[in-house]
Amino acid sequence: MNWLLLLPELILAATLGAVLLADLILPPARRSWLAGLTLAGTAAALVALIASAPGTFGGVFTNDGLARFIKVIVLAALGLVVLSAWSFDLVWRRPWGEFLVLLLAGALGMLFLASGQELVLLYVALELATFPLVLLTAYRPADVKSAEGGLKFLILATLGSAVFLFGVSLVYAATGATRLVDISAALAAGQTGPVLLMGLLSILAGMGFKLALVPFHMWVPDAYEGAPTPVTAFLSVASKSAGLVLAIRLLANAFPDLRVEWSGVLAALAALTMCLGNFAAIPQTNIKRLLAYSSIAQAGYLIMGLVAFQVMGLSALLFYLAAYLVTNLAAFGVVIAVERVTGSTDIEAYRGLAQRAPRMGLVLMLALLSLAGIPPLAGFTAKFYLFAAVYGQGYIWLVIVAVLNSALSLYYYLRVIRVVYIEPPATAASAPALPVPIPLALVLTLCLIGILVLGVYPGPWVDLARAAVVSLF
Amino acid sequence: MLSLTHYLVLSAVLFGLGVFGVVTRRNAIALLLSIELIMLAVALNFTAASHFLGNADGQIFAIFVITIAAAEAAVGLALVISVYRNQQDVDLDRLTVLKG
Repeated sequence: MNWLLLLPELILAATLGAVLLADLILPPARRSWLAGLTLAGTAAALVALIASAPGTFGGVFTNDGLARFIKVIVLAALGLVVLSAWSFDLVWRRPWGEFLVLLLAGALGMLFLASGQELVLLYVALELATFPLVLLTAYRPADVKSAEGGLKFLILATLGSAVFLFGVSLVYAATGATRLVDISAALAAGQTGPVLLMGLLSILAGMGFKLALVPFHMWVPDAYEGAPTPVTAFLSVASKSAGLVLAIRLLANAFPDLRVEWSGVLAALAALTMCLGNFAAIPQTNIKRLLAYSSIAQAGYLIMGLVAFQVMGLSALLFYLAAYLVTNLAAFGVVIAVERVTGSTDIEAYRGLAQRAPRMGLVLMLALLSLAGIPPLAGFTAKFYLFAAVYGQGYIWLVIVAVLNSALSLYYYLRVIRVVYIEPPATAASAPALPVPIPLALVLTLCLIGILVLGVYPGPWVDLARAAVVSLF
Repeated sequence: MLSLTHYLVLSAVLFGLGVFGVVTRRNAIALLLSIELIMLAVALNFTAASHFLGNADGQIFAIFVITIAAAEAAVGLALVISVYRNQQDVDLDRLTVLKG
């Protein structure tokens, strides 16, 4: 039992406790101290994580390459989201300590999810990663949208976990095992049957809910629109990473012998999800809803990495997640900057943005082009690796669907860019100046550097992603 | 003599009823109740399997499931109350500020 393996989680848990206590003691004017405390804890956890050695804790918790890669993404997302929420009045003037505590709790659940090797731990971690985000979605209870989005999100998320859990219970009934290695050993010993397959199907459906795949995507745009924008950013990046790592764990460690059964289902889900996400994004007039549908489409691309379940496919998936992190946080950073001043998330509010805030316009343009997959940005490189990996596995029809979808997505991203760069503001009064607080500017700068570096110089990052998944096979 | 299969069938029926409730009911509280029914089906599965396999892991899992279901109900009802305060309604077909 090597407790040092749990060090990043322990640091984050201690930070959570410290923020909770400090929130009681400090006067409300000291909000920035709480944020500083959270950031310091996140940074310490990140350092502990990078310095940590691989190993296994009691056979239920592993600190392998995959876990560390995902944890770096989750912690980076946590830090960037706290920075971008800094002095964002919709959360800053509310009980800010609670906001940070809930964010930390959700991130803690995601860290455990990335390392879990046993179904009880994975289930508890999954719920710990879900409930705080539900509460954060409904963070402004007097706001009609926020409360409604939170309730819809809760029903969808708990239904997803219930279906997932039903599958887990059937797998347990069939194999008598809750450790992933034991399940895989039981399968390798030739155990199969209708109960086990029903269980696998239920688990896949439950994961479909978690990753917002078609046909389980219904209320995701509502949750994204209702949530305070920094929460939406965290949901779109960190939750997605956590859901994907759970899927990789289960498929790679527990069900590798049923690959024929699940890869076909996932390929169909991927194609449907990207088509629906992109088509539904076209008529949207609210930028958060547009980004919500775009993130559904991106989940479709990401699932392709699971279809090509080899070192190349999975490392492309991890690289895509890293690119998605910087790209999406850059886009949401601009949304926050505009919402701070105008109070609006309608695309109309972006008219003439390029004239009154040229740098904001540029960041938004680069982020949207990267989401669409235009070279030389991160999104292009990521899509290139991913599509190449899927092509290499023989799913040529899926690659064709994905490429057509990328072209389609360019249409609605360009529509936003057109509003930003070409359409003049309706009146001078509707185009106030756009001051950006320093923490948010820092986030945007870091994300922009990330978009360019991952796009132009991907080599070392791809090697990192490859090293992270190589031990799974 | 009852076998594990009997229990699995019973819990599949409970699961089916829960899913049926989720699909047909539009009232948020009825939806939460239906989801609870699914969670009970899960707990039954775990307990029965644990008994027939002679392996205690399932019972521990069932305790975790029930505990988390309680947390879920607490969060869910809190959100139902806050939605009701805003809109005086908890019927999801009529909660359309966000166009779902």
